Amino acid sequence: MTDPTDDEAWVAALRARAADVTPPVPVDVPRALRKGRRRRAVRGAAVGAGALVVAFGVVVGGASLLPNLQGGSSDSSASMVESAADQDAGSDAGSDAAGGAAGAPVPGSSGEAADSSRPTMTPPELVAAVADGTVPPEGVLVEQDAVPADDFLKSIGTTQADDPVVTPPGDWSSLMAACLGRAKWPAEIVLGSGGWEIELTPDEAEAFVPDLRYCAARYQLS
Amino acid sequence: MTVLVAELEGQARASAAPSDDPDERDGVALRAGRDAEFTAFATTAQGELGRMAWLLTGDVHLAAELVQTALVRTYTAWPRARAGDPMAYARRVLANARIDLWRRRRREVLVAPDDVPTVVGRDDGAAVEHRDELVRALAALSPQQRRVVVLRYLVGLSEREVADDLGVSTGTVKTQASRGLHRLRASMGELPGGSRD
Repeated sequence: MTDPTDDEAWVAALRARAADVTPPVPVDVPRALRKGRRRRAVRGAAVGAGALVVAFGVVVGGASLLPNLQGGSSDSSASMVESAADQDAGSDAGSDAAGGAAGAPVPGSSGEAADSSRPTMTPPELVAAVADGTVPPEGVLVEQDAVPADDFLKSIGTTQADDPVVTPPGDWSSLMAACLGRAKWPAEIVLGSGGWEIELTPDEAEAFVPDLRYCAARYQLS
Repeated sequence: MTVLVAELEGQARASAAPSDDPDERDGVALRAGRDAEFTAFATTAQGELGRMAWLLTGDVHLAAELVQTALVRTYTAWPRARAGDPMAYARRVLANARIDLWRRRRREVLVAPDDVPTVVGRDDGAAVEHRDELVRALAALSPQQRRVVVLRYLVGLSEREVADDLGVSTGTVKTQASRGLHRLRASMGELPGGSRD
């Protein structure tokens, strides 16, 4: 059994060693800010549209229940709309209020924080998860590197189109993002220098796979 | 996508322009305040996050990518993150992103040090050797052990904080920390000043 004080001394020496040898890691704060703003903007737009749908449903549902639940339905509508407002990542005031009310920050608890703990998958992993019916109920964040692996098409269950567009590796990512954006995912796709990403609910994941295959089949790496 | 980005940039420019609408002015001020707060936080936190990311990956470029991801996601959730401890939030995101990376790559990444100088002096050579030894020793741990060891012993968090960051029990942290530390000691041997004998 090792003496605990001996462990403590060794850990102190290890920490000193680590401090001596850890290289500086370059961090681009302005770039993180720009990408964060863009991500927030696209998510805000998507969540805002969702909140409108929820609010519309609440109004319709509330009206139909009005004869029986006159008092209760209005309370429930108010709380649902408040909840939708809390989820609105595009509203600074709403999300500040939500953050304050939530107390300790827990990634993935709701609204804005949800993306932080949402499982990340590559497109091939997404295709496999959709096929297996194992897409997590909280949805996924799909991330694709700027240049696909050699077996990318095979791994997502497709083959090259008959008349593909010959694409330099440096352009593949932006062309894929543009194609997916045109298909039906304009608000969700986020393109960065390292590739593209998209957040999907389980239902969206299923609908996304055919578009992913279609777009991937169109571009042949030169 | 170009159109989308141009539209978003256009919106950003439009919202940054002076406005007569008090609500809009408040929104712009709020956003500017949030950006300033986040920038101050990120500037302060980048060193610690960078160290943690490097210890987890053993590679400067992967570490930079991880920190960038953690900062972007922390910004996205800034109101919630700042309501508690933004640093803890960013660490948690970084650890989660690390898990994602491991899942994605299906294997450990062990890369030789990136910043080896062209001409290595005697002292520099020892530093590179020590760095390589540390990277290899950490890479020999399981991913979970490595995360626990890095957070507990190298970042210096309490068992409770590590448990919170990783979403596991303190019992798991204790077990993993103890096993990880003993493996690390066996791998690295005695360090200068590392024994009370």
